Amino acid sequence: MIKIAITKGRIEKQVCQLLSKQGFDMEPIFHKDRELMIETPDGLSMIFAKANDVLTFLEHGIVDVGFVGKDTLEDSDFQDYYEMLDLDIGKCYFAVAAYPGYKDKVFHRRKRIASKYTKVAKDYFNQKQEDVEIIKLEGSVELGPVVGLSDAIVDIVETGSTLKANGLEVIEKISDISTKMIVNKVSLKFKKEEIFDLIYKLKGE
Amino acid sequence: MEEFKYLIPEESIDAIMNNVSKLRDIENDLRHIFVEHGYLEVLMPSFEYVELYNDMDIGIDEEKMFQYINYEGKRVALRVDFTVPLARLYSSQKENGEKRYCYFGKVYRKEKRHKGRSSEFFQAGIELLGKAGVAGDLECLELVLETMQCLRLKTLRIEMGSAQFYNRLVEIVDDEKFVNILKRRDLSAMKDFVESHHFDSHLHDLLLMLPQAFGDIQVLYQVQSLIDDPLLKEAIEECIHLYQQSKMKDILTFDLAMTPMMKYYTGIMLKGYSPYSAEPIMNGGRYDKLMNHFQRQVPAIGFSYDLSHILKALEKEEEA
Repeated sequence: MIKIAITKGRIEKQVCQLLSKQGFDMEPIFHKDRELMIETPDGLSMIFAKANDVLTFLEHGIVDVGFVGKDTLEDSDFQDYYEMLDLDIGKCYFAVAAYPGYKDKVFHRRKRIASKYTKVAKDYFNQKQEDVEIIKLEGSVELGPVVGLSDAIVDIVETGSTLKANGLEVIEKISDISTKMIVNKVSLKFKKEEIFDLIYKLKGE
Repeated sequence: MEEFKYLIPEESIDAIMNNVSKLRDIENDLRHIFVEHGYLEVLMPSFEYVELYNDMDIGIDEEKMFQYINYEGKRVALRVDFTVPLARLYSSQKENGEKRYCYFGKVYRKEKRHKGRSSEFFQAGIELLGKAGVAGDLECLELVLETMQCLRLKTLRIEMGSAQFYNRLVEIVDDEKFVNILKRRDLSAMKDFVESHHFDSHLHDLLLMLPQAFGDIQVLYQVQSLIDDPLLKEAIEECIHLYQQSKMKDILTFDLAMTPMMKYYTGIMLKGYSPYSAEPIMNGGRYDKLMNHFQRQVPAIGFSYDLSHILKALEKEEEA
């Protein structure tokens, strides 16, 4: 049996639909109420968790496989897993966004950047050799520039409509995001066939 | 501040009470076998210069070390690994002969809070210095086999990789993106990578199958049929030869996509797994270049068990 952790919400829906399309019986999942752990007739044991917790469960070997966005992986300090498959769903990207004037503005102080993804923001500006102050916001990061707390933000951009509605624009794209299948390193060794079977099915092979 | 009498710092691991006798039994059995084979037990110091570790490029970040600045203004760290200090110990001796050391003790690595991670690892291991090539590899493998029985784990697997294979492949592919793709075993990225290069058909096929090139001896034969490069061939042949000579064929597996944890690995690499441990319970490998840092040319190989992981795996295996 493979134990799987899936990020609750949008990723859960998309991954379960994909699995169902590939012939897995996902009815128990589609009809679940508030259960957090469900076994499917095909022998998949699934738990549903917040994105960061999917990584925590995988790190501790509670689950063999995790489905999680690249955004979560990039902002985590835990890197000791295999990132085997890009599911090509949940596509969006990390970007720096600000008011249009940001590009040409001369700053005589450290820029302030608001982000939920502090590691991604830090790595990006480090690599540009730009020293900035990063302020962590937990949600609606666009508020940073809107209320004047920060000069720009680093955030996930999907359609860009929230940015636009608040007068902000993408200054620079940082990296692509999509949903990934990650695997615990020890699990892969003991459950090679089962895990590759899942991979082939997800790839539609 | 009354409450601090009752608490331990978050860095600490809880006192182990349940299975201490089991842990000591395993330790003593290991010690007995190591000593019987001529390995001298060394009690290593707890403090080392941070610079010593940094110079060796051991793959452990500085931020993981428990550090302080000593009276010389130098940074000192709690021991994070045994191999490097033992290499220094060897270098302090005048002659380059064969030396066998074994050790038991803790290494300390800082971890993020509230992640359920431990900062202390109890290790037991050996270093065999001055014995080159297959002869050294075989001695090490045989010692792994013999000591594995002491662990009392029912299901165990030993896996062999080759740093020579890996290093040569990285050289042939000659694109820095490759290393990261292989480390992550990213099938999607590997496919894109291979398609964007014009490799010959053998290399093309090899790279595509590499993320799954692990398992029993058949994997080596499969890969062998796809390579023409003499150095790659040599690396595979060495693994096959060790397999044929080894007495533990049933639990010996291979992983040609294994990437070296530490840059100083040059030959075979070893890992031990239990299905009840999310991390390897044993790590090792040949490191013929480490002594170069001490201006010596000395072949060396070693391995260490992580007794903390083993104890946890034992508890889980009993529950299962």
